[in-house]
Amino acid sequence: MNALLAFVFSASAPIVALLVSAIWLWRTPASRGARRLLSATAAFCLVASLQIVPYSVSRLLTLGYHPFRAGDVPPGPTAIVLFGGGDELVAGWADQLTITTPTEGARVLEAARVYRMIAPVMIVSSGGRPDPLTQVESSSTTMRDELVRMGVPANAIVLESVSRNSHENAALVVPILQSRGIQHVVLVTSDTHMRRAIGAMRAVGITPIPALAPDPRLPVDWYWWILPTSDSLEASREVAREILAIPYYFARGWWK
Amino acid sequence: MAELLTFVLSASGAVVGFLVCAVMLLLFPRAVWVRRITMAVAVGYAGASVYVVPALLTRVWASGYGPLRGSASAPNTAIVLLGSGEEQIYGWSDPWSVMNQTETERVVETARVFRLISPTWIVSSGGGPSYDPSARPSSEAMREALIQLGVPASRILSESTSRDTHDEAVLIAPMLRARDITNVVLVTSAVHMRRSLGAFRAAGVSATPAVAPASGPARIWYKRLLPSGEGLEASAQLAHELVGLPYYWLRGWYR
Repeated sequence: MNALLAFVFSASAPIVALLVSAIWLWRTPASRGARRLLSATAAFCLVASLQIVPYSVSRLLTLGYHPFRAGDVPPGPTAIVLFGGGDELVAGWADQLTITTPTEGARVLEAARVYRMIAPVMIVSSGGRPDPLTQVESSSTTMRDELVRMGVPANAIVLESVSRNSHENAALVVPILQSRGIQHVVLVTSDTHMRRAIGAMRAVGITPIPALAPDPRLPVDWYWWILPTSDSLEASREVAREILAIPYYFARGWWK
Repeated sequence: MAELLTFVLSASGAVVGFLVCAVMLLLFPRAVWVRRITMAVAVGYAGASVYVVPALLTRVWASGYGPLRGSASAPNTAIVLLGSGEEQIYGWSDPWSVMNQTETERVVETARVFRLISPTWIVSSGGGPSYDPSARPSSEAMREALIQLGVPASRILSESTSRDTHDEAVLIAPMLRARDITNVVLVTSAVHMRRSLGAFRAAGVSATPAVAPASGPARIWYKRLLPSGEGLEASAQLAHELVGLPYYWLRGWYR
């Protein structure tokens, strides 16, 4: 499903559709089908590539959540749980280095901000290797390194480095939290991902307090909100994935 | 010009091209010239977005340059590492930045060359984005990554104000002269190497190239044969160099 969404909401889909339509029209110039395919795909790509569209839909996903404030957490031992958001492996002639994506970077930045506000017992950095075939470093480690650069003490960070999706994130952090006597959990993830992530945590018996990381790709200049951009296609892909994944998680009993 | 090329050779350009063709076909359904334009746009984007196409053209463009080999460490040597920009992240209150893929490739190559030749200095070069003077410059992000890869902090110098390759050459040349550096190894991407070497020559510095390999799309071979955003990006970088080099030459910034 992820591969299909990555294809549909990328530069690949319009180029393939344009090529198919052009060849079709070349062979049968009067074909209405080719024109319809071209028009429908062009309209879809245009809508998906305007930032204002995924942003508006994502507001429905974030309804009821607000940026985290210190007063959101009642007194008692508290932990921040930080969900990974994908890394990129960069391989050289001999060495390799894993870097965070902007989406994951935004989550790390929010976790560091919340850490400074509430001084919790610990941060659980949660995420395995996005591609176990090529990647040697887990998301949890990459995020830990970024947190340390942002001033969070390394000894305040606990790693969960096995999970491959939000359900596993939730299931695998529970024993860590229980073993430390944690009473309150602040969950840090991207704004569009929060509803599914909170449901996944509830399904394993934890009701977290949300701390939304804002979308790092939102344009600064107003006109980029109404022009087609690749960042907007990516934002549309993330929104579409959440819209499909929440019912899937619910059906599997992973979302409550 | 650079912005126009980047726009045309991006998903945005593909969507706009697609839309223009669709509208023309609706307005002039029987016109042969519209079908020809549609076919030209389709073939153009298909070619530019299949990663192997720009990768092969880049190989031709960068012929003669490759990874630095050998292990002899010469005295008075410096590695010059050219930045490639950061991904700026704005949270609720703080800004942060992470290195982009191209810049990370250069950092990884610099760490390898450092171990190979043990130079006196590494010059980490690159300013922040022009629209945000408070943003962390590339030089600082690269410096931190080099330290993470085992390079001693005491051997890294920073140049943090440049905006382009010409700036980098002009600002780094006096830094090298002040430290009596006679051997310079220049680390940058293959596609960027020709213009960079020319810019440094124009500033009076003759450098040895050390090409950082491009990671490209995921290491699944067929992804390199299908249209992708990475393919378009590689084409945009090549087009940028094809336009940038004559521009530098005309300005006297390339020799």
